[in-house]
Amino acid sequence: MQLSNPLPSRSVTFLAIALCILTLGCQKSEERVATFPVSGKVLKGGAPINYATIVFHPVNASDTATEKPRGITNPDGTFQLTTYDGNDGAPAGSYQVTIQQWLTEKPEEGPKNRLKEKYSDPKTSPLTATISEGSNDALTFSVD
Amino acid sequence: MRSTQFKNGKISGFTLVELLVVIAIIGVMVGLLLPAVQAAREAARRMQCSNNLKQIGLGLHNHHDTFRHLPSNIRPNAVSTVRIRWATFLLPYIEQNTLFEQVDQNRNWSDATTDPATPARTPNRTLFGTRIPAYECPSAPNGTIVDGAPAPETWAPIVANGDYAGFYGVSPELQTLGLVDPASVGVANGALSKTARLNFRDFTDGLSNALHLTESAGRPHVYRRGRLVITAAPASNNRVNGGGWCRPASELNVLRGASADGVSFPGPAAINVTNGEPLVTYPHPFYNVDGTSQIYAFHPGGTNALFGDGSVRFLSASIPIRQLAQVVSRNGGERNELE
Repeated sequence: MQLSNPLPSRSVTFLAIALCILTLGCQKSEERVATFPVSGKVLKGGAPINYATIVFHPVNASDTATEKPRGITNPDGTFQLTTYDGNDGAPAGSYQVTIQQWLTEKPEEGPKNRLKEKYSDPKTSPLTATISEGSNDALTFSVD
Repeated sequence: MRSTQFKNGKISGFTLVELLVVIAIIGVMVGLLLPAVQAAREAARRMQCSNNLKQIGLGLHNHHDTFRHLPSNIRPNAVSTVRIRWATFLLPYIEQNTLFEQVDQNRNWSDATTDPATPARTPNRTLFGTRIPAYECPSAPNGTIVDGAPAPETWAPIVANGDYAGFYGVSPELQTLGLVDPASVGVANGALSKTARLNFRDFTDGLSNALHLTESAGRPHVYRRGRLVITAAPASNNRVNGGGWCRPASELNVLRGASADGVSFPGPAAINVTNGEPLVTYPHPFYNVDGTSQIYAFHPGGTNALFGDGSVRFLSASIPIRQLAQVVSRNGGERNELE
């Protein structure tokens, strides 16, 4: 049992290469874009509204299926955006903003949108926003 | 060297190095085998879970053969407030007829009273404290009695849990987010209904393309990605609304998904991310009095799912929510890209 012999450099190289090959595919394949915290408020006729779903649709998105930043308002009308993990914000850029308010008033009917239809579609919604690198915390959206 | 020791008729035993080598080898073998044993145990539990779903599937088909409709969450004709879940109507088809015959169908599942004409009856609430092995996934951490009624009384654990639940539909929020096909969206297009008695004719996508039941385990406590984050306790609404096998609110409601960490709703992650949204206010603005559960199984990598044709498949946690919505919807006429 002699361990004093140093390992030949050839086998060290071999081991390193083998390790590299074995761990191929172990890295995370999911690619995430850097996000910046976004918060704000939704008002209807000047008053804050509860449980409004706010979605940011990227204006220059090459792939429409990517995860869209979204948030739901609290009873005081405030919201925070989520893109990947809870309240992580949104990537920098300009967005068309849609707002819907899915409320269930009768359990047998399920949730229904209580806001005007024009706010549901990014093509017809008059609301826009620009997210800059850094903190974005004074966004206010008013609907009628 | 050793031969000389034997020559004297004396056995000297093992040297320290030999012992260490043997111990090291045993250690390595145990280290290799232990995870394999644990994995085999989990595989056995997963098989038992899929067998439970298979039995429920056979029961659902037998119920359909008898009554020409599937057991439904529709309110019975008797009293408008009475709510009885499909799992109760299925009892005679999973060898639990004695329990089913004791249930008073004119009273709600949480009712603690009995008909004065028959005072000897056991109240529904007590009956629904019975654990039904076929309704429990063996991998899930089930207590004896864990779920209760959120109203009108203070919530307290009174009824036994069930880990299998189905969908009423697909949330329209997911269409705005561009995560599902528009044809899949609908608040009442799932395999379960709270307003109608569905039969096989209503599954126009084909029974094998419709997800009937899947798992939502660990309720009413809140789990996220394998961790218990909120323990349900009386005097707090911070828990998943759902869990009891007798409660219609234990259904998965509409497919909504969550963020990748299971904190924010709605979102693109739908399987094994969280077992539900913590109910903060009751009735909730979005869910109202219905359940807040999400698909969640304690099996690594995915969940078991029963389809309308009675087949049980394993759904990987990585399947996109678009494909999941295609099988949740029973009548969208859309493609089934699953598998």
